[in-house]
Amino acid sequence: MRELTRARFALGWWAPRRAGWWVLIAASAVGAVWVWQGLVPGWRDFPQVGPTALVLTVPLVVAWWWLLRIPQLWARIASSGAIAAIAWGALVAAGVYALPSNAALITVIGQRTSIDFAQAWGPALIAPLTEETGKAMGIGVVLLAVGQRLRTPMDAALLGAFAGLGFTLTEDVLYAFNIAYVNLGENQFVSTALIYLLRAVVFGSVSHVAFSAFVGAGLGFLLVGRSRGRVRLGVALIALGPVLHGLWNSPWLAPLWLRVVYLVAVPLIVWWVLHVVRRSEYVWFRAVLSTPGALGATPPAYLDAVRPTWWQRRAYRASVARAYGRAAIASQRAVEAELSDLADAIDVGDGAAAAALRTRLEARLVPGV
Amino acid sequence: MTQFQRASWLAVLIVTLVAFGLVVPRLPAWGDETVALVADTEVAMATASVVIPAGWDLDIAASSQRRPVASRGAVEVSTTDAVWLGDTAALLANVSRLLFDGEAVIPDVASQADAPAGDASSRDVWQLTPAAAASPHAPVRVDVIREGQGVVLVTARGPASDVTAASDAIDAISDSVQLDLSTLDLEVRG
Repeated sequence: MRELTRARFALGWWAPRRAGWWVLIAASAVGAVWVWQGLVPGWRDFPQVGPTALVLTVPLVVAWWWLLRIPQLWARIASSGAIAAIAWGALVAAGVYALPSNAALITVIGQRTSIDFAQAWGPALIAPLTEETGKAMGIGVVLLAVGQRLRTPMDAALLGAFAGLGFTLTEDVLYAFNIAYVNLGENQFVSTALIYLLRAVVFGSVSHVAFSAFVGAGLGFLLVGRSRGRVRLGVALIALGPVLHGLWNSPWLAPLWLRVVYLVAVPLIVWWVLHVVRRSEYVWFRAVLSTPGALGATPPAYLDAVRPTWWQRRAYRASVARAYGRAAIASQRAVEAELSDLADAIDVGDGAAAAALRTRLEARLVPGV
Repeated sequence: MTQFQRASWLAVLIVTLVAFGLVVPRLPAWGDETVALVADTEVAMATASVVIPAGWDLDIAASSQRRPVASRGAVEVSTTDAVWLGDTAALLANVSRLLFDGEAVIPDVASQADAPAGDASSRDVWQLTPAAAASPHAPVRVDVIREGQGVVLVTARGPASDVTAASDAIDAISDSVQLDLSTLDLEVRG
C-alpha cells in the first residue's frame, strides 16, 4: 500500500563490506557476458529482433512491476532491492545457472538414456532444476547484499518473484531470437511481437514470476514461518514451483485441452499461495505488536482495525466510511500503514522509528494526546 | 540475519554458482560426443523428422535438442527445420544470406511455378552451393526442402571432394525428410 513509509531490502549501490554485494556484482558481470555471448549470433543474423524485443520489454517490466506492488500490503520491497533481484534473475539465473547447464544436462540425458527421451523429457526435467535454483538464489544474494533477514514468507516470495521477472525478461529475448531462427527471420518484427504476445498475455500465468514466488514462499516458511506444519508447507511450496514448471514443459501436457486446464489452474494456485502467505503476514503482524516491548503492547482494538487481506481491508474501510463519512477512509489507510510500519520497525529493532511511529499513532488515535 | 544464516546462504550461493556455471557444463565431456549408428535411425525435429543412415555418427548434444547433426569422416550434415510463409525465391535468398553471407549460387526459381503458401501437398527441393567468393567455411551444399510453409535445410560441410563423394548418402538424408507442420510447437518452454 502506498501509505507505507518503510521499505525492506534497500541496497546501497556501493557496499563492498558485504560478501553478498560482491557475489551479486561479480556473478552479474559474468552472467551479463554469458547472456550476451548467447545473444550475439542471433543479433548478427536478425538485427531487428533485439531492438524490437528491448522495446517490448519496457511495458512488460512496467506491468509486472505494478502487479508485484499489489501484494505488498504489509511491507514495501525497496526499489533497489527489487532491481537487484531482477538483475540477478536476468543475468545470473539465466546466464550462469540456466544457459550453460540446460544444454549440458539435456545432452547428458541423451548420452545416458536415448536421444528420443532427451528430446521429450529434457526440458521438463532439467529447466526446473537449473532455472528454479538460479532464481531462488536471488533471494539469498539480496539478503546477503543488504544484510537483512527475512521477516515473513511474503518477503521471500516477493524477492523470488522479482528474480523470476528478471529471468523471464532475458528468456523472452532469447525466445524472440529462437522464433526468428524458426522462421529464418522472415518477418522479425512480427515474430518478435508474436512471441511476446504469447508469453506475456496468452501464457502469462505460466510465468517464471509465479514459479519462483512459490519457491520463495516455501523458503520463507522454512526459514521464518510461524505456523505449525511450516516445514511441510515450506517443502511443498518449494516443490510446487519446479513441479508446475516441469509439467508445463512435459509431453504430458501436449493435448491442447490440458494446456487450457493448466492455464486456468495456475492462477487459482497463485491465489491459494497468496492466501496462505498473507495469513502468515497477519500472524507476524499481530505477534510483533501484541508482544509487550519497551513501549508496551499495542491494544488489540487497534490491531483489529488492520485487516489481513486487501479485500477485507476494502470492506472494513467501507464500514468506516459508512460510520464516519468518506473522509475517514484516508485516516483509516494511514492507521493501517502506520501500524504496519510500526510492526516492521519493532521487528527489525529500529527503536527510534518505532517510538516516532508510536507517537504519531497515539496522536492520531488517542484523544487528548 | 545471524552469522550462521549469512554463512549458510553464502556457501549455498557459491556452491550452486560453481556447480551450475562451471561443473555441470563439463559433464557431457565425460560421455560420448556421438553415437555410431548401426541401423538407419529416425531423429525428430520440431516440425519434421529425418533418417540418418547406418554408418554415420550422430551428434548427441545437437540431436537431443532437435537439431540433428550427423557426420561420416570429414563430412558433417546438419538438418534444421523452419517455417516460411513467403515465396521460394525470397526463401532461397534468405538462406543464402544466413548460411553463405549472400555468396551462394541460387537456383532460378522465377522460371518455375512456386507452390502457394500453405500447399503442403507439393514438395520442392532446391540446392544452394557456394559461389566463387564464398567463405572457405561456407557449406558445400544446402538442400532446401519445402512443403507448403514447412522448410527443412540439409546443410553439408567438409572438404568439397568428401562431400561430393558422400552425395548419394546426403541425397538419401534429404529424401528421408518428413515434414509435419502440425507439430509446430510455439509453446513457452521456460
